[in-house]
Amino acid sequence: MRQHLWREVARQLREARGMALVAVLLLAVGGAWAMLAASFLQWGRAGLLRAASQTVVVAVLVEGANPALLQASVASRFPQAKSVALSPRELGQTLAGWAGGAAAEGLLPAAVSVTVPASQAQALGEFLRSQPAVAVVSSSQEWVDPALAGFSLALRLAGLLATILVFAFGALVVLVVRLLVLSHADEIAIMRLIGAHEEDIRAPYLVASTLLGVVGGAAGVGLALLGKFLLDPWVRLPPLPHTYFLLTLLAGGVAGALGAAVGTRSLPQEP
Amino acid sequence: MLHCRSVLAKGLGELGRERVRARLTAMIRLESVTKTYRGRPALVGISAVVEKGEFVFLTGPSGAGKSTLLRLLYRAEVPDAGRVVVAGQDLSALNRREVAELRRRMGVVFQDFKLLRRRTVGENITFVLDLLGLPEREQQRRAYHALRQVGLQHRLSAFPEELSGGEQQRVAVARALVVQPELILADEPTGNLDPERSHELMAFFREANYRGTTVVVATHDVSLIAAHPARTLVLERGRLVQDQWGSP
Repeated sequence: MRQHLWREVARQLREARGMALVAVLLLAVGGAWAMLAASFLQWGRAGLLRAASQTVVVAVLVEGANPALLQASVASRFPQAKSVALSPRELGQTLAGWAGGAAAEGLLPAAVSVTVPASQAQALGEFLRSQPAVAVVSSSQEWVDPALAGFSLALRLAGLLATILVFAFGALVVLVVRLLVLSHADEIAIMRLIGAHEEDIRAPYLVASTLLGVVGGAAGVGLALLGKFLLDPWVRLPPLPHTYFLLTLLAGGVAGALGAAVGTRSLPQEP
Repeated sequence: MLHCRSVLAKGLGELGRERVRARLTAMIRLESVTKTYRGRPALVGISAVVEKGEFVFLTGPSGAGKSTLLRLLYRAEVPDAGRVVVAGQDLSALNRREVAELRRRMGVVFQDFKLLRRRTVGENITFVLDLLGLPEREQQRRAYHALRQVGLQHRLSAFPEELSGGEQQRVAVARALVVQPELILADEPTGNLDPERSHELMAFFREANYRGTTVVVATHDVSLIAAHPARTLVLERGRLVQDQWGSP
């Protein structure tokens, strides 16, 4: 089946033209989506993690409290901390863009903003809450952690969608192979009668489907690179790792081969 | 007493040797073979031996069981009872791979040709050579030679549907001969041929037979048997009714 194998593979691909194209597109979109989504989410997560390495804790003071005293006690307890006192005027200026008239001077209290390594954020928060001069304590970790969790969830969902697309490709390959087997049933019977082994009969389907998978994976890599190029003016994504390319090609090949293996189980049997 | 024993031992030895010889030289051994289709008997208790290098006609009226017997010989069917042994192998005991290997050593000419319709005439011939693992150049050479033998070398690139029934028949014969098989099974091989082509075809089978190939030809054409006399097994209603030389 050496020479005939490749002729037969070409013939299978020719016969499955329309559906094969749909399968390749499905895999290409799935692969590209997986690569871009993973890259985008990792980029966002890295930014968040960078932001999360330093935590900003803001302590809003009770009326009449002296920010300088609080700064001094923070500095003595947390030498690595950098604190900034925000007078009602400065706080008002900071919030003016967001709160407008509500942030007018006189309505706002004084505050102290303290930046510490993330590892000390909890201790600092507890310390500030224990101070009688402090009314409210707020930490940037309160939104960074849920945001990181959200990114992880989004990453899992993107992976799930890509997996569904790869499975859809596999299912389509099963369908294509079954249809081909059905239309070739008479030829398969003849091949057996003249001495073809089962692997001689299955090989062209297996090779053609694996090729479809690899081509779909390669198209996915191309689409991902194009997508990155088009997104570049808005989002500067990191370069796509080569392992993504290899994984996409591998996933395509495996999905194709498995699809064919399942599809050829419908081969007509002999007594 | 001693003498008696010695004679008995010699006799048994002879018998054993005869059995071994029969096993070595029998290409086909049918032992009480029975086959039924939905309760209707197609073959009933057929027993026969075809030696290696024999030329045998299988004849009888339509529905006598000729094609069924051939189908049993290339293991497209298995018997309901009895044993079919071909080239020393009990066909019922073979797995799929062994069946394929056995078929590669046979050349079968089917009544309905069984050509691969999506392949050219040349590819139909080279397909079986490819299964044997021959190099491409050798495949091409042998395919051309086989097609020239049956006078179809000019139709190498044609598809089966572009050929007449007779031409398809000749391609099927070329495919069977090209592998230089140990056994040729032909089911009505002259059914679509004119008398001249029929005799030409029988000459190919004879030539293969002279080279040592066992040939079994199923035909209802008594004149063909008369023109090419050989051992003839006559089937009627699934039973072997005659085993003789020449036409019934």
